[in-house]
Amino acid sequence: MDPDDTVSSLSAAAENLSPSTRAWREWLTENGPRLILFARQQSRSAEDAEDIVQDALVKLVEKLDAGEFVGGQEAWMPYLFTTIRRLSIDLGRRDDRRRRREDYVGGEADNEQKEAFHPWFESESSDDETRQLLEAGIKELPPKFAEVVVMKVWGDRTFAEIGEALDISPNTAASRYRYGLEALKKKLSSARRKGDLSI
Amino acid sequence: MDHEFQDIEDSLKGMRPAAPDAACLGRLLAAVEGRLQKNDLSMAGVESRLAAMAPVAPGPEVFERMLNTVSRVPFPVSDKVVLFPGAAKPAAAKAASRRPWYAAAAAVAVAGAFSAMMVEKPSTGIQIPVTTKTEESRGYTPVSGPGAGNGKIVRASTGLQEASDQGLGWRTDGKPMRVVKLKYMDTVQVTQPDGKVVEMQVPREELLLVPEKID
Repeated sequence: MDPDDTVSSLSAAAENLSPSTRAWREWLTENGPRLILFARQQSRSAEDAEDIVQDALVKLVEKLDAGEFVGGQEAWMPYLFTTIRRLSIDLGRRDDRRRRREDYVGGEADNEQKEAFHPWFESESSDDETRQLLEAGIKELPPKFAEVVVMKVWGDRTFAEIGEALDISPNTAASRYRYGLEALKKKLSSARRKGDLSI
Repeated sequence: MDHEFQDIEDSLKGMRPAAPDAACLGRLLAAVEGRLQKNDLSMAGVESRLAAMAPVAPGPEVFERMLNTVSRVPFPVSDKVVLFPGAAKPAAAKAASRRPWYAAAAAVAVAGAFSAMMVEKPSTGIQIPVTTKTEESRGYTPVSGPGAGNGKIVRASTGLQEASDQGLGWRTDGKPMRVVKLKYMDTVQVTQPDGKVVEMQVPREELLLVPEKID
């Protein structure tokens, strides 16, 4: 099929969507990447992250459909972040139990290889080495720092909202955010001194 | 010095250390010039670099799966943002919001007529020449001049008692307007010929059309 025909058929298909579906599509285009990113930070693989976000969205629409969701549209993202975190913890515990049962060996190495092909961030030709370094830095951060950084920078959450989602005080959230940034700053500085970074 | 080591010493002295490569020389140069000590990476700088990184968008299949999940429920609309006319109705629309805009205009006319009726037939029987148009009903024209038997307005005031959102209406040109009902209580104090002061209170309603934010 001619690429132009593919684009035009997709555009036509998009135009045939109902206004509600179009609105959902726009909302997912804007917020889907942030949710996937947070889920990836919370989980062990890209596939797990996608499943977790899917499950979180199911819970959201079930509440909306039943009229049980408290708050307006501005409350969706805080709810989804909290739900993604809980689902990730549950999945992690299930995986740990399964691995203990199966005496799983060598899985971590396989995971790391797979994750290398699933970057967390869009790659741009300029400053790609900084992007790679920061992405590696975020992955190396203690999870309690990384989750705050992700929610603050890409989730646009306030420290109060982060505290509520993670069941910590806003001050603790702010401290963890600062520690996380300090660690990333040290990583960048170290890379520059070693010559790994041309910035 | 022991002569048996002289030869080794001479050989060693003849060996020159390998020169550093260009990259290493560059770093050493930067170090001596103080460029490495200067850490211009501030917290704000790290933040801005992080914020410039865009999370990877989900793949088409994953996206369509998520869209199918959420599309089961109509996209709820915020009270302050409306879809264009002809769009799917919001999931939880209040019944009052479906009132058409021309009903609001008709209500204004009725409210004006009601005000006129109440003012022209006061219970005390005193005739007060007051305009009956809604726009002018906030002010009262005092009766002045000679003439026994005519009431004189000593005080007139109006107070807003309630403002309520009546929902959305659409103009003929497709622009959404929010209808707000305003309830006033007009108070007039009139002196009778015998010197007694009579106070009348006339309720009044206005419907205000406010352009609504569209997305």
